Amino acid sequence: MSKTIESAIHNEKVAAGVPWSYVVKKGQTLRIVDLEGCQAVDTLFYNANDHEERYSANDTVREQGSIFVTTGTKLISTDDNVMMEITADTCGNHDTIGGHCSAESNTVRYAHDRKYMHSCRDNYLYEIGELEMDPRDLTNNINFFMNVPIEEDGYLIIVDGISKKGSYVEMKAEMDTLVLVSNCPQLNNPCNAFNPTPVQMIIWDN
Amino acid sequence: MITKHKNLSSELILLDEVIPGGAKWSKIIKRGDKLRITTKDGLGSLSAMFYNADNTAERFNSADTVKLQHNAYFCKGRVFYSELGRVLLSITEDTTDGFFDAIAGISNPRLVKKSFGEGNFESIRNRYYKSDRENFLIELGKYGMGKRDMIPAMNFFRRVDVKEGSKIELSSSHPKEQSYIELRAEMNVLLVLSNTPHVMEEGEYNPSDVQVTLYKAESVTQDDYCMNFSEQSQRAFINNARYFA
Repeated sequence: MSKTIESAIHNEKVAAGVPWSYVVKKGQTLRIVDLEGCQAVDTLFYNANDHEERYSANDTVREQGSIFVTTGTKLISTDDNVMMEITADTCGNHDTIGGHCSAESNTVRYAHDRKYMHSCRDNYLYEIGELEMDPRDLTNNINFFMNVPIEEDGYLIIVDGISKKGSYVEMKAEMDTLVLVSNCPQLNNPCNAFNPTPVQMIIWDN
Repeated sequence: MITKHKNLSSELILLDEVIPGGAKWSKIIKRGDKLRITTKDGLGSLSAMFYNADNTAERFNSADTVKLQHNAYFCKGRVFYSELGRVLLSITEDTTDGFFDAIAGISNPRLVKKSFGEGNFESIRNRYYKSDRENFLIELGKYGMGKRDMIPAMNFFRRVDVKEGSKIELSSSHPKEQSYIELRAEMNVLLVLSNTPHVMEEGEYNPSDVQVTLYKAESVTQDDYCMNFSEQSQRAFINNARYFA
């Protein structure tokens, strides 16, 4: 079946700065569209039937030998299973290293008066609370559309995004996968061009 | 065998132990104490997960640790952050010259078999090939903790290089024999260690002994090297001070 909006089983716009979660069933494909460009989409993955099995940044990066996520990347779980595979990517260089922003880390990165700004960790904790999951289920996430290269001396910094308006990434579920997103509200760095914007979530059946 | 320390007075030492190759180890390191971890032959490789011992929901966060210091590598002066913007451990000494790895993670039984072949208990008894996954699940279980607490780990005494901005490679070089790192606990820290070959190592399964030496350190002063290593560290130590206020 061709991937048109009409053939999608789910199509939802996620506003800037909010959490989102959805179970993508085995065989289904999720497309995340960066509607306006340069938005960071902080994303975690769980086995929908056993949340103790979750995305592992270490295993995913090591098994493919690269810190970037792009077409062909298999997202590996903490139990050594493939959760999803990236099947299309019009952007490239999605980050696996930088994790998500939090009120507390903002105090260290910027200043103590940034503590009460909204953050991805707040989004995650809120959604995890609503889903009656365990806060310890949080781990290092993928930042779709966010660009964090590492230089030879280890130096790293979040640089200007390379994602254009309408860039998208697609992933096919290899197990029933709970996808947990924080559509990043960070206003202190260029991870989302200092201007958080909405993204579109589209899901197709196999 | 315990190796004597030339530059550490024996009255200060609270505990001195050897963790044999393959073994796991854990200890609550009290705030202000230091742990010296020595690779006896330079060939050690230790994986570490650590937590605020008084609230294990506050865990080491490797992503924040590299992001807040703008560097994926480690040296004397850098610190290990919790996910609450506080310092768990400071690197107060590093004679290994930067042999740390925050990227590659830990081994599991499948990977150990793939990299080293079969080495089960039935055939080789206590020399059997242990993986980090086994070690951490066993050791964390003793604190009522489990899979959910298996965070992205730190590896000591090996380095993973990042080439061309993204490709990762296990460095074939090792620290010198008897080189060590020293970690100071900035709160009461539950430290869990697994002494098995690095997850990207291949060939012969031959993990080597490391020595852990816990000792009373001088108290932290405002001119502390780690506290003043960067603006970020100064703010993080203020967060720690607020936590203990």
